[in-house]
Amino acid sequence: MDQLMVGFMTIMEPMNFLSVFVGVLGGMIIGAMPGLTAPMGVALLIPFTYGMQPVPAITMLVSLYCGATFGGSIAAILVHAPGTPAAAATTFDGYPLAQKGQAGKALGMACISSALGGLFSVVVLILLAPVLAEIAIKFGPPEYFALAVFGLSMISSLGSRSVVKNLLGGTIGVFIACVGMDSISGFSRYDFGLTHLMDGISFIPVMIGLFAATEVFRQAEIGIRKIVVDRKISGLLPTWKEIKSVKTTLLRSSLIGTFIGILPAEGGTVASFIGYNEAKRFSKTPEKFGTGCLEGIAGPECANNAATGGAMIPTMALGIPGSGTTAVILGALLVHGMRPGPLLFLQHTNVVYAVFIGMFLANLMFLGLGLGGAKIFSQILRVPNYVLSPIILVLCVVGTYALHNNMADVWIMLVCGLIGYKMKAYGFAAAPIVLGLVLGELIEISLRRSLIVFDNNPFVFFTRPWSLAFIILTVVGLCMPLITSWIENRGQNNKEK
Amino acid sequence: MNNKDLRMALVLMVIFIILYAMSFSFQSSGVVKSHTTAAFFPRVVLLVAMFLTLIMIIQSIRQGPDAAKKKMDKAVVKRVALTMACAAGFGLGVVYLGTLVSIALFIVATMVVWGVESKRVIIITALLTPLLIYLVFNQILLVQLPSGILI
Repeated sequence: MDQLMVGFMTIMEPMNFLSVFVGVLGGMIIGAMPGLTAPMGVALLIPFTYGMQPVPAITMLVSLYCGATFGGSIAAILVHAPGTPAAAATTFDGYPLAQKGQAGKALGMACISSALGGLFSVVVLILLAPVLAEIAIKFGPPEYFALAVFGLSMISSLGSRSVVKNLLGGTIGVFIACVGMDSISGFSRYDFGLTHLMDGISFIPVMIGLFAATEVFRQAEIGIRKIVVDRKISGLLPTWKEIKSVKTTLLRSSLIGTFIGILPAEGGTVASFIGYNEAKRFSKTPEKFGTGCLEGIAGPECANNAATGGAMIPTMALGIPGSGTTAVILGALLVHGMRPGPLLFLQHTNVVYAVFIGMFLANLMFLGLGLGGAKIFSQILRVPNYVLSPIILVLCVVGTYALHNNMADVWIMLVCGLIGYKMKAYGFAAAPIVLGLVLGELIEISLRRSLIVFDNNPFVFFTRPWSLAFIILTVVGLCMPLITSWIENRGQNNKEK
Repeated sequence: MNNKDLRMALVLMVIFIILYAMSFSFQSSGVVKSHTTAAFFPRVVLLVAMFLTLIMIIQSIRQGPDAAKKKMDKAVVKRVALTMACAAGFGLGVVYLGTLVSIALFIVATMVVWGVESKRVIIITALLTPLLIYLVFNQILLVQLPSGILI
């Protein structure tokens, strides 16, 4: 409780409070624009935080994450194009309600549901993360290896539809982490005679390249695109009675979103679709779904914002990112000299609790901004992509340069942008590569330390309870897509018969 | 057969084999066990990658032709390629011409490539962006941006 009070006092300092505000505002703007995603926004914001203290820097990034997750619903409701992938399910009922002339009500419900889901998940984060960290502090290298491999195995369900491509992307990410000086033997690997590569490849240029530069090249493919917002924000905000009518949906989606968020590599997109489906399944009027019903907005919006706090739990307590965006946040923590994991709670207690309170505040802040400024945010959709895309690439170049004042990072970023663009064309997603890159070092160090400490015995991973549990979960996680597709095929065959 | 995936998988397989072969040239102290050498982990990762690529090859052979087999319009390919060239030129420009001038030139070039017709939009964006970058990075964040021969 004392730590929470200290966190609260820290966040109330003007600079930290301002960081939350800027993060939420930036997040809502980025989220509202179709094509700009939360991980991209966080990656682009990192360079602006280099010179900041850790508390305002990390709270700004986390606030952007929360703001962007809600911001995605603005475009989903007004123009039927989700601002972020996590808002895709919101289009099902949000847009039809806007078409009925009740865009204000749809946006209001999305905002309230998002805020409630977000606040619920932050409370779970505050309660659960320290407990998880306390368990994880007893982990040795074998447990960490098994845990990191489990986190990586979960990428089979991230981004692209192909399990093999996702796993291959993750493996490529782990391989990129191998470049540079080997931390145990001290010998260099894959540096191709380039001095810059001897230090390894930094996360940030790769993340900015894969998330932001790739998107600019994809926008070039689309060409000039103007979004026409012909819908006025009209219709009253949801009434107290209407909010009360979706309270069960809100509670269910909060639980679903937080749980999905906790699972390594799952994120807001999966949470929002499950939130929508479950809202429909338990609804007394499922036939109204798709025609502009409030439950259909509350379900996905509450779940995707609940996933933000959920995703922060494994990121902060275990150092295993819960989503693509938290993988970028994890990279930012490392840039600011903090290694996420159980030791973070001992070494940087003040920062951790300030970030938790900052995230709580961010959810309250976008509630106010969203309800009060929906009309203004709808204007952001009018900014054409041919103005935005070159500016994003300028930010990519300047921001990457600012990391080490080094042009080599800029070239790495541009090459990653190019590779990301090509890989996307072949069905590979960026998030698994980033996750692999972030977890690569942890996997290598814990594997080799385990083998050194336990005299080259590979069975050590199967003889320790936690390690064995994570390995079983990994096997189950990897087999799950195969089992699901087998069940689906069987079901189809039976139907045909 | 899904030629697109097969092509990609074969290219990846060749890259992984080359990288695996390269790991034999890593230095090691000679007296250490295999798992403590610098090459141990990259080899494990590359073996996993090769295994996954093999699955991808088998899948692409067994699969039917790619459903979304649409060729990109030549104009689109040209626009993407030119945007990439503009980005590379921007990177070089930052070193030789300086950041602010390169930003303005890059924005003009990209917008022209994309077919933006409004000169007013191009000029305003090309002037305001370097100004904002200068204010935020140079003046607020105190980042010394490369100046090249110009500014």
